[in-house]
Amino acid sequence: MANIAIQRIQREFKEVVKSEEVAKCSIKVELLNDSYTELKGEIAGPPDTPYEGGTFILEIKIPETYPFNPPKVKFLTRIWHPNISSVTGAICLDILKDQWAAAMTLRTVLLSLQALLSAAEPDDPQDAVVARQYKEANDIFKKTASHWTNKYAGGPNCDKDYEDKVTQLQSMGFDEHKARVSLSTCNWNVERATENLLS
Amino acid sequence: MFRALRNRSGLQMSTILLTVKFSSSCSCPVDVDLESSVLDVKSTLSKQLQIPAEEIQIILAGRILADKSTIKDLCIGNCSVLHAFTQKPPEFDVKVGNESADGNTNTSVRKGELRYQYFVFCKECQCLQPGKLRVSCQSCKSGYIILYRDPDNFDDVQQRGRINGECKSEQCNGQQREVEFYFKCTGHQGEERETAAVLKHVRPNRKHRLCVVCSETGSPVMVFPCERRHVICLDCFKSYCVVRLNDRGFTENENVGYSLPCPVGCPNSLIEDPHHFCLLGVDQYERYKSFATEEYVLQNGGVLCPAVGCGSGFLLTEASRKVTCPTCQKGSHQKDDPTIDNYHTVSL
Repeated sequence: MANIAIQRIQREFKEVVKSEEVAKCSIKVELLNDSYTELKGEIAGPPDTPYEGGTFILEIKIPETYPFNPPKVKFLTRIWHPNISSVTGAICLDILKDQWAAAMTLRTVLLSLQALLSAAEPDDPQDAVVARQYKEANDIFKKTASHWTNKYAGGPNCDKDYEDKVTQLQSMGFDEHKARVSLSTCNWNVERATENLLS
Repeated sequence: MFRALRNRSGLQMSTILLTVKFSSSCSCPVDVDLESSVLDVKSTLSKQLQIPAEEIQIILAGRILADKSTIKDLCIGNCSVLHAFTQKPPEFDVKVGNESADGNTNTSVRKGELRYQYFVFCKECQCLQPGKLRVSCQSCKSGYIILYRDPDNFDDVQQRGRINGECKSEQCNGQQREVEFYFKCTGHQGEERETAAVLKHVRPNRKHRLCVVCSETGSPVMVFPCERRHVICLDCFKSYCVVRLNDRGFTENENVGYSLPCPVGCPNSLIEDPHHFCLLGVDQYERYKSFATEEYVLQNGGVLCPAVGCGSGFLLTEASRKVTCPTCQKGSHQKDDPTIDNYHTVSL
């Protein structure tokens, strides 16, 4: 990797480690190899959001041309959010694309992602299904996001009703995660979710 | 940079040879010690020419040199040419008084502080070199001119007619004349009127500002013309340009040409002079130039010839659905080449 990139990542890594946010356990970063090309990020779900109490793991890949081009970041933890793909974890955030600037750092990226969890942009979605639910059935969206946080990110809020619906589909022989996706997509209508799974 | 210059010339010399020109027909070579003062030079000249030392005034870069400044302070190299004229002392007192009164940037060239105030891209040395600002009279082209005021900024230097001076040459004989500024490379000894392209965004990093990319505080640095004057070190600048060049991510701007903004993305931060891209080295600069040309051609409604190995750009003069590439047509292709019509005709 280019010298500038390595130098930058070393510096940014230290910046995150020493930051206040780490002290408050709200962000974290770990090196996955010695060449500083792959890192693991972690952000805490922001308070007063459906993601509260969850810990979200991110895959961070540093391109050769860093910091002139943005790092490639995606969610490894499954998440229900309009700007993050519920399937691949791909993120739609301007600063990770054309609004990236060389002065941004790992720390600012992690904080921006945390901010994205607090303030979704449903008009510029990555996941159209989630975005539609966010706009048309916001209560269901919040409960779904909270349920996913509980299931995949270690969040505290367990929704008995949703749990039961997933178990119900599971007992019909469907895979747990597929069942959850289908129910989430169909606003937790069991009949439609089943049809969806069968089609 | 300083170390590199020293190494190239071997041991640093303690004496240098100067040529002091009194007129086109009278010039005196003087061997001077770097520690000696302007007054010492004057007394040497005085002995050679039989003129009282106090009547000799020496001009460098549009200013009369103060007696007490040393040759080292002036930052002039071996074989430099100074201009001189003779004048009775009383008339001159005013000028000397003026020197300490104005706190202008260029005044301190005398004190040696601004050793590397300017940087040029020298075609001779093929690299960035500290530059020196030199002035001449617009009318007689000589260096006998004394500025009425020092330049404050690049506009004063680059736009004509902003600063006038008094030219002491035989031809102009003390008349008010327009001043012409030019830059020279300090890295090699060129001819007296040889010029080098000044890189206005490359500045000494006196305030130890951090490079926005690597956070180092080297010097010199590129200072972008954005409001916050973002700074990038030259190594990062080269990487930045190459990355953007690979992505074809430069911006074509009608005022400044094919350029790049500050890497932080500030508005109005485009590099204003393409000479800065010479810093990328010959190969990358060639790429830069061809991309710039292509971009210009395309943005102005021109087309590029799709023929393998041609790629010439041309602007269209008449509205026609098919045109023949002017380069290929005249080029080395055989007339009976069966592919010529297909390849060298651009469909619109």
